[in-house]
Amino acid sequence: MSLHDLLDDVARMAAPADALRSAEVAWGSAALRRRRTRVTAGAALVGLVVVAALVGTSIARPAPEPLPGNGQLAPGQGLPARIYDVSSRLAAIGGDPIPPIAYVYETTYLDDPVAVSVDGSYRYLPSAPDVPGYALSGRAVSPDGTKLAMAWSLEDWDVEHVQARATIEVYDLTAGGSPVTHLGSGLGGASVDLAWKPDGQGLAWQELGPAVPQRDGTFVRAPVSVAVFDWALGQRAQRTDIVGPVGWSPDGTLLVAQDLDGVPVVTPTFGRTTTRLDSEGWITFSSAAWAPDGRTVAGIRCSGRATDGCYGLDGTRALVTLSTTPGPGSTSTIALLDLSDVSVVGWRSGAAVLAGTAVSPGGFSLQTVTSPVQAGLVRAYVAPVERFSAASGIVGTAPIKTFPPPEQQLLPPWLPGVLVVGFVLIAAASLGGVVMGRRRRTTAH
Amino acid sequence: MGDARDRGEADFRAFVVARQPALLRAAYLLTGDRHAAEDLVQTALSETAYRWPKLATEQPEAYARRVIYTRFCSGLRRRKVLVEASVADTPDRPAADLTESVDQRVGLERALATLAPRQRACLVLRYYEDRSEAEAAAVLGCSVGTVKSQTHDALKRLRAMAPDLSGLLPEVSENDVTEVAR
Repeated sequence: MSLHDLLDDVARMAAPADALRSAEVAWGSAALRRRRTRVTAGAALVGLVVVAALVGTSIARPAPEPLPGNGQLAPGQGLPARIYDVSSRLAAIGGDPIPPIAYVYETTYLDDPVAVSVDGSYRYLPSAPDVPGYALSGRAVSPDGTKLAMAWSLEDWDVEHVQARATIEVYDLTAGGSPVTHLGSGLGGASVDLAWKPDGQGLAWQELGPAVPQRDGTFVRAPVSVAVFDWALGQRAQRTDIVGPVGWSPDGTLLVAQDLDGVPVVTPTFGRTTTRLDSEGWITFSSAAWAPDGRTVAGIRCSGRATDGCYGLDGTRALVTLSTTPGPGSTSTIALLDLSDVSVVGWRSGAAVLAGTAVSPGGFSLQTVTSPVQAGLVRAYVAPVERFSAASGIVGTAPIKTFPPPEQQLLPPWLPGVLVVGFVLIAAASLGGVVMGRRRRTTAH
Repeated sequence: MGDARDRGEADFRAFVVARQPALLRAAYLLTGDRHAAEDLVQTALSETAYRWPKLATEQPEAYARRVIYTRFCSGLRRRKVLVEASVADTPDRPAADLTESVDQRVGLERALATLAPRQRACLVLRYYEDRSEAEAAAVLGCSVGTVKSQTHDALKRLRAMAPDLSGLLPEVSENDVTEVAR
């Protein structure tokens, strides 16, 4: 006997099995496995298609908008698509007739303000002075659309520096946005509410004092003066008898502002004679504009005295008009603006329309508010963003644009649906594989 | 398509009927346990059925045997308990105790249970299936030298565990192994 024979003896101890049953089980399990492989391969193919579509979409997507930079000009449809931040607001609007630069936006996302032309093109304007802590506190486009005044202030609340660091730069928009005039601030710690003289040769603004800490930890700057600068006359005035947002009369000789009690007054640009427009109480304005016919001024009413600043009203604010002729009943409230932040930017189209912008309470929505003054509406309404034309003024409206955060913008809108479908397919394939594998094992046993 | 599938299933069934007993015997030699042998063969048959469209015209039995040996070596590495469960006595038991009282077959069966999986596979391939060293190496997916050394170790251990089988065991010179190892 050899080892082979002995091994064969041992091997014959193996129990005979039902070969047909064994073949049936093996063939059935193999069939299930092949089917599972096909399903898994199909799911993988779907995944590959999804990935390829994503890659292709990302490649095919248009290049991002130009990065902020001085003097960059980019084609657009009136609004840069990346303006999404809640702090975006229509900073200034041109006069009548429509100027080359229609309006200016400021966003914290872009850092630099954006000037939008009447043809829809836009360009980025110079950024803040190259000093850490500076923040834009005011901006205004000249009525002829050729100059932009921007006020900067130091926001680090360092009392030793704030009074000296507030500054105003005037840029020539027709020359690529280079600064042409530097207006040092006077008494205040911040310059706000810049207002151009109708002929574009003067600028007035309100100056706020140093930041004062409050009990709740915030800081408040109290208004201290109004500054006026006139290039044509070569004069500069620091008016400590008036405060508040300033509106120029159509001829540029008068200002509408508020006295220290918060009562609206009309005063010569360079002089001390003032006329109270209303004596019934405090009607402190958060913004003011003078009608082109010279007979009416309008502003957004806020709470508190002028020297306390305008705060405490969130949401609904009153749009009031005052006759420039003092007398009882000269005040009329024509609209309630139920928006969190709105300001009167100017009169347009022969005193018929007040225009402004607001950020809706929900955020991310940049809108233009128009209020037909003479129609006597009691509620303001939110109109779509207006597009401007040099020939005929407002020629049409565009849908309200919303500006989602850039993380969302980078992904195509159909991506979540595709991902969900792909996930469901893969999950179904995996689940099917598990079930079939379990059934196969059960059958085999 | 359906006819081809039915034909393939019929061919596979004929293959299983013809070759399953031989596969079971080899598997039993490897595992030393009837149920484990059936499981191993069933696994090999399932793998063969999965690839039947390609294997039908080639050598399905060779593939099935390769699955048996490779699954046995890799599976038992993961599940040592199977080997241990099939051994009635500890490997350290003196060899003299299990001789004389049992016949050669039982002695060989118990001695086989003490071998490492790869040693056992080499032994079965070389002396049960009468494969050459090169063929055994191809089935196990290792080198010829590994087959030689594993076979040598297996025979050496069999001699130690079952001295009464010494006359049946082939002689393997140390020089062969050391030469290959070198």
